[in-house]
Amino acid sequence: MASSMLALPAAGTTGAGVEGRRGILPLGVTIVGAGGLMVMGGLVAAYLALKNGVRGVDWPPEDTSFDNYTATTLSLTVLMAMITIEWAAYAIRKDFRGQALFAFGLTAALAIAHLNGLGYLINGFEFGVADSAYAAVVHALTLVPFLIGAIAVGAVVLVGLRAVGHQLSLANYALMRAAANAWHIAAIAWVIAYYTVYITK
Amino acid sequence: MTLTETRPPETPDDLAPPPVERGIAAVVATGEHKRLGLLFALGGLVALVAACAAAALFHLPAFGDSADAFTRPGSRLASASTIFAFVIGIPALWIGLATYVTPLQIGGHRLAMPRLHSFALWLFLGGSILAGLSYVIDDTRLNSLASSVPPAAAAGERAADAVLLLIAGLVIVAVGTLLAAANLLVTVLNRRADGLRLVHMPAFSWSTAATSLVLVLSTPVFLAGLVLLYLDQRYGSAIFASGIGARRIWEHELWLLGRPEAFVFFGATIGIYCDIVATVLRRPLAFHAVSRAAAAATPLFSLVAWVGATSLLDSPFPPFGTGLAVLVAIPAALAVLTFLASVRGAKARLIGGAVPFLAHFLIDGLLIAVLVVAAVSEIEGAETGLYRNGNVTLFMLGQTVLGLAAGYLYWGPKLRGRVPSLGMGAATGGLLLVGAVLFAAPSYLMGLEADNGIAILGAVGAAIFALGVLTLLPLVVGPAGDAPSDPYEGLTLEWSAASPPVRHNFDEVPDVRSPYPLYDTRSTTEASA
Repeated sequence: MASSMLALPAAGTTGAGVEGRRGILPLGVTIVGAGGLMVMGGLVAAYLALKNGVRGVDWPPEDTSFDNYTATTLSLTVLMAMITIEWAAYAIRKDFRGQALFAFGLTAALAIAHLNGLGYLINGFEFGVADSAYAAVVHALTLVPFLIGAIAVGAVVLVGLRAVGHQLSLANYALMRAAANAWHIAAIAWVIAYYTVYITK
Repeated sequence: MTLTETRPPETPDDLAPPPVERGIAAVVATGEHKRLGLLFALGGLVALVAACAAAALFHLPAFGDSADAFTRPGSRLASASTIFAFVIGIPALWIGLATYVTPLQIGGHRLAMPRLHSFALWLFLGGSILAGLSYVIDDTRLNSLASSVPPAAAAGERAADAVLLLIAGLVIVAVGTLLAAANLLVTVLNRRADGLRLVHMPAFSWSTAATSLVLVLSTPVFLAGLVLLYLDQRYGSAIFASGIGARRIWEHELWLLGRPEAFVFFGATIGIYCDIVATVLRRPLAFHAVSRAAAAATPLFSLVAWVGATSLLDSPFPPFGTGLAVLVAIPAALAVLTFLASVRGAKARLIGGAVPFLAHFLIDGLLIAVLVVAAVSEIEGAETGLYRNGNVTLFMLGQTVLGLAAGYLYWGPKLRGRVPSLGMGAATGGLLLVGAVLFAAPSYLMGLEADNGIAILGAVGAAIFALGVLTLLPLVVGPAGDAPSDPYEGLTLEWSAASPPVRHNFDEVPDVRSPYPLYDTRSTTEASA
């Protein structure tokens, strides 16, 4: 049986419908991104469990130095990129091509700078993964935002290239929104790691 | 381009993935939800049979580790059976059913992100193969995830390659699970037919949404635990050998009973049962909003597993980690009450898919009996891990696979176009029931200080259980038949599609305005006649 209307009509009812289907990609990115943030949640829980459970051992270990300057700069960088990607989204919505390209360029530069800085930060750790439980968890807490950030940078660059090639407009705004959501999630992942490792220690 | 511009209406051809009909490309590159569902299901059946084979072997005296096989660190066969049953087999079986049926139930033409689902399938398969290989190449010395004892890694020491391979395989499987669950959730939220509100979705679709949500929230935490486990085993970071904090990481991120994935698939079966009972009774369930809420709440309540095994919340029932674990039973009981309330005046007709549902109730009775024994007995053994493992086998394996088998039998006409007979339902339900009971019996009896010689029963039970699983194989890979589109006079939308459905599911996008659209249409037609 295939009919265009099945069963009783009800007032004011709508399903997802065609309009709803437009948001598939941003919704999918957000849900998968929520999974990524839950990975961070699991790592933070492990960090706190170890911090509270290890008796008689310094936490963090003695002589651990923190590169607060770089970490704080990275946090400001991701926050700035969150703003510029929203600017790009606004420009795409309004069809302001010049602004959109400029905002995309800024976002890509900031995002790549963030990844570069994060790689520098991880390379600069004065402890190896095997040195202690603290060292292993801190490595995990910084590597996961790096991976999420790399995926998000890929998304931003791809969507930016579409904008350059006149293939991004209000008609496929979902792509823009998905890339922006991906970057926001990457930024939140880093901020969680920063707060845990560098603020609360 | 203006803000008011709207996209032209989508047609079935726009919505369906590109046609890939035959050959290897049809399998590798497919984005069609029906084909993906069957592939997931096939993988799940194979994994469950492998798990049963490993379990049967470790119960045999010749392998010499039957007495403490579930809990002894480093028991390769116990670890293999646990991982292939609970991390690979049951999730794949559920994902397969949900991938196949959910788009049909909500009037969709396809999954929201078909390519992502295809990617998830191959991740799942690749990870499973890696995990399987790890057991073949070496005597893996990783604790079974059913063991509450974390693996002890000496500081600075590197674990065997097989352990690292196993962890890598599990990471890939977990990523595949996460992506598939996210896609199913987006599909339910965003691909429903026009007019089908969320509250009007069938119970199975509700349970799919809730189960997917729980998997999206909980699988990444398991993933985080696996990352730490890898660092621990690869570099000897001594994370799991460094005090009570480390113990908590194992209990709440990796240990099977300490995380929601272990319980969530039981919750998913409530949605299957709601739809089966409504079809058997040929009428909407009484208080059907309650039954749909129960179908969603049961998986969601599995999140309480995270508070399991905390000493502050000890359960009065020793085999359960906490009293909160019993919460899962409340929505399930509510669903059963709606079933009972619907029976009066119904013209019931037994179908193949209903038989495992009845077997499920027999296991419920048995579980209540063993819980009472555990609660009132003075026998110390009732509090041991072995006794608890009986519950794991009966509740998490037996009941869950029975529920999923019921779903495969019920939607059998949609899968391969063949209507499973009552005899087939009885064979599947009977084998799974008898297999699960025999499988669990040695754990209970040895937990109550019985002789180790009883373990052979477990081997027999595992073999019978595997036979029960294999009876589902023809529904997944058998030749396609030409069953009528609605052999059961079903109530929900999937029964308006052909059996098996055409590539785009529905020739016209249905416009649905009721939880039981076919029932309403039938009633309206009868009334006007």
